[in-house]
Amino acid sequence: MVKYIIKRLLLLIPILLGVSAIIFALKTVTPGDPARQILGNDATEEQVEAKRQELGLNDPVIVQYVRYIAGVVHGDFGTSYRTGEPVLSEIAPRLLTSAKITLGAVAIGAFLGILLGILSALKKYTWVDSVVLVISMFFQSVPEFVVALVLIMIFAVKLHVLPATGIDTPLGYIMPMLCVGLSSVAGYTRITRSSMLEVLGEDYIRTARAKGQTENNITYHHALRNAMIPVAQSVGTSLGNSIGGGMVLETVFGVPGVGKYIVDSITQRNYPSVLGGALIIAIALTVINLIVDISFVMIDPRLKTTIISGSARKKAKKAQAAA
Amino acid sequence: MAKIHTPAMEKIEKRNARRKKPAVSTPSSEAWKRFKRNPTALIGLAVVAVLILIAIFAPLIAPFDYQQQNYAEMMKAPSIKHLFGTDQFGRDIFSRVVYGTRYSLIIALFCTVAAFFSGGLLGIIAGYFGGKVDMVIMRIMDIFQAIPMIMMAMCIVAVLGNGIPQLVAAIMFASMPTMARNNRAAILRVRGNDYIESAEAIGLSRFKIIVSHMIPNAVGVMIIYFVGFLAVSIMMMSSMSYIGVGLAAPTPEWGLILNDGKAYITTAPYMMLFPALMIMITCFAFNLMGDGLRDAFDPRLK
Repeated sequence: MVKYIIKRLLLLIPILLGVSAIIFALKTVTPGDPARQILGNDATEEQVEAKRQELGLNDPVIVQYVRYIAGVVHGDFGTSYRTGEPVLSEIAPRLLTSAKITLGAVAIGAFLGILLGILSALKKYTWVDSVVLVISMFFQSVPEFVVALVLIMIFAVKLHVLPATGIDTPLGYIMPMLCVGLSSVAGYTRITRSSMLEVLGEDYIRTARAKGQTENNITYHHALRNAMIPVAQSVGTSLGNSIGGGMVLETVFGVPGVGKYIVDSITQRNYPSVLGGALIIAIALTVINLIVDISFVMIDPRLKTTIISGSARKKAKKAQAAA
Repeated sequence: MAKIHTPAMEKIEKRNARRKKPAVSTPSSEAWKRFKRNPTALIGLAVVAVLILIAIFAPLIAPFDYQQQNYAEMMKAPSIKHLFGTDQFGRDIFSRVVYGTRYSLIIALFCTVAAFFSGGLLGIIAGYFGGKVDMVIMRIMDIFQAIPMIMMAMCIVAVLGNGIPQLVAAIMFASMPTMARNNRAAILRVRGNDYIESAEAIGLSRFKIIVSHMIPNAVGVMIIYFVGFLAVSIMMMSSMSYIGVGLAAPTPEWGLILNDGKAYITTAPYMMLFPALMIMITCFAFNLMGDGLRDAFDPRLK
């Protein structure tokens, strides 16, 4: 187990090197001089040159890259061009806000998705099944920000019950969470449905029926528990989408999270912040996925062989991709 | 011999006549049969067809030029003259939305084709050659996948700047891992078949095997991904344009129209309502169609 965790953590290294290399490569082909950008148009040529020297922009790209990587290893993700603050300390407080929204969204999505998945598995091939699939697909296919705009028009503009932007009150969290959550419902519904149908055909369900268990008991105790395993494993894969969707929504709702920070940095061409933000999100995603996997092995030791050999994850991923 | 005409005989004859119809059933004709039986998929197909017609005949449908500003008619609510109202520059929103269909569909098509020629091709290569080639390609794709797709696309647009070619490049690049993975899986499903082995045995070139034996047999699954990705690219394109990282004004793309109306959401919500509805309808229709295609081509997945 320890060996497995170490192996997975080691995978972080190529990921971080790769992600930063991609963005570094993009950065070098960008026109424009960051030093000029920091100092503004009034600065003299000498001042700009001094700033370039200070930022190390005159060194070859590869030297800059190695220097940056060395910094990341020491916990230094660069310095924001705009504020002059370290990127990490700017992002740290925002991580919490984003984490709250993502968690809330995953909770909403998983709860509704599992509920609807059970419903459509029990009523398979009836109109209930089709309606559930169509509705959940609607929210999956429509961009989150459009749903967000419609919700703002209804709840903030017309009814005045929820704030349109900001998270000054806890009520401000409701719409962002709901929008991200609704878009992931379809994925959970599909996986729950197919997994429930598979489990309901198992021998132990027949045994439970034969010994006279009530249908409710069978559904919720015998079938659901076993059907939940692939669903739970798909949480990790859907997290990436939720974080991506959250980025756009944080901007729509004016929520001061990591997503908004990165989008703002993109529009201001503040590359250290973009790069730092992207790296931190990549690290967070990888670590979360690892934690998700490990906790499942703790919950269900049967998974030890499948997860650690990797086939179960691939299966979950495939199911997610198919959905 | 005289024919006996009883209702029962007629019924049998009719049935026989029906049975005599084309005995050849190819996988695609089977798929079409299944697709036709699926009402939601047909609705999706119909809406997509209407959208394509709107895109083609945009100049005939739109009553005004999409970028013509008219300061005498600023911020007018929907009326007979301006079906969807006008924006803060007096531009007719209906015309902009109609032209937006053209732009959105064409850009989405470009993105999807580009994604297939980059990520898709990588996936096909990885799937066919397997072994080390597969490992190297897929590990690189894993690295790309460590960042959410839309974030990757935004980072690329940030560097390249706003505009149509830049956006296509960004979406292509960002979708590479997903495309590669899907197409690889599609190829792997065909690869184990005997006919591939015999094609190899008679000494066909690898290129020939991929192009004329593997792709035609995996094409059903690839069509599903193709239609699905059209919807994904419309979704990404409009999201990115809406937050200002994507296309540049005055392109009448739906996300940009929404961005224009952002400031007036309380005073003139109609400015955002219609483009928003259009995005919803389009994405949903493509997904319904894609879902129907998936059930049609691969009934086992349902």
